Amino acid sequence: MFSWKQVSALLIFAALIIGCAGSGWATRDIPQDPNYLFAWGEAESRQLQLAFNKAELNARAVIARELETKLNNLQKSFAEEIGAGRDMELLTMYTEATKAVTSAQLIGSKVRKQEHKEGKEIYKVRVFIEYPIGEANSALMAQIKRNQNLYIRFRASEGFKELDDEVRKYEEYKKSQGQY
Amino acid sequence: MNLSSRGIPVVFVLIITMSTGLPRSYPRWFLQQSKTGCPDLVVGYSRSFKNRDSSVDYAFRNGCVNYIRQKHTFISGGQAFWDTEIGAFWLGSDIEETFDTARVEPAMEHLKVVDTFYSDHMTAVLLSPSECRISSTMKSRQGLSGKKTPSWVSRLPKDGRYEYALGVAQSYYYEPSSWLEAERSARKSLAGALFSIVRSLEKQAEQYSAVVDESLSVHLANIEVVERWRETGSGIYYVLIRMPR
Repeated sequence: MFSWKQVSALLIFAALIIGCAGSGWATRDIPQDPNYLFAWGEAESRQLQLAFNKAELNARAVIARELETKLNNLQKSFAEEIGAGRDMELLTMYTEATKAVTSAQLIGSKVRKQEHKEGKEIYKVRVFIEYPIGEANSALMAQIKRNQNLYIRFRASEGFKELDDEVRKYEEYKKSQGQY
Repeated sequence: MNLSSRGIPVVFVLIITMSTGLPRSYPRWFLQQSKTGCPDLVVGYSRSFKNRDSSVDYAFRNGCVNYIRQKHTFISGGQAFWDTEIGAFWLGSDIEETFDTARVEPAMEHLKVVDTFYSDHMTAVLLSPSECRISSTMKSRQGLSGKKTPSWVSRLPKDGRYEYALGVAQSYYYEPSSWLEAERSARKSLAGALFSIVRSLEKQAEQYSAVVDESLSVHLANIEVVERWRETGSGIYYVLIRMPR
């Protein structure tokens, strides 16, 4: 027979395990690689495909935000005086409004891992996306140049100019390091 | 009939499995298409009709459409979500695939049936544009139950020659619809990986909300299906595709 102390210890241990389980997903480690941006996207839906679409887009939105976000902070603070004399109470109300606009063209944002769980009539999905920057951009440019249709469309975009600038900077850096 | 205590659950499981009507095994060429050794293969699907020839005929036509789609597809349109503190809401999608339908008839002239798979609910044909002989091993059946889920279902392969994408679909009433939806979802995922424009507007005041919009405009060429898998427990269909870099 177990003593009440043993039972209590077991219960505490079980509670710790359940508590640590969190959302039930495995680890959310994000690797460190200067050539890539990484992001997890999570979503749930009664439709499996919709859950995957949302999760993918969420992850892409995170990457897009990291790449190009225009933050517009609107902050208002005001104080209101209520009462008078000694009973005067200063009530400070502080409100904060933030707007963030993101617009980015992502070329080569690949899904690397995906997981799903089935809840009660609902699918929970999470997707891990990687986005190449730095050296990977050079390879991507070569690939894009092979696809003429896509390339013509892409060349007209701001995204092309940005990528081209980055690749040029990177190539100049490589030259300066004697890598050619 | 006198059933032992062990026999009852076995019979019960058997009845449930049979009542779903889904095949418990598929030919290896269906599950591991890229390992057949022939280039440019394509699979066509159809519901299984009483007349087997009709099923094969429908599957053949579907295979020809899939063949043209794999050769060249243009994916365009967009989708948007409204993200709030209580969850994300779908605002709609107009993503569509277009391909040259005029090329389907000529494809029907030169594609040949390499092998056929027939089950109660689905007929699948393997088509090839060239002379192709697949081994008896590739024609043999591979069961799904008890098999370990392939690693590519959760972690996509990575190599220098191809871009990979995974498509998923839940179980629809007609099995071919599930496989076709998984293939379509894989093409959409591949298009998103190659080129997408993401725009979002987030607002944080007393409550957080964001509208996220994604636009696609991508040509896909020379896609091939690498592998297929069906999770017997959850009934989820997976298709792994790739496109040369």
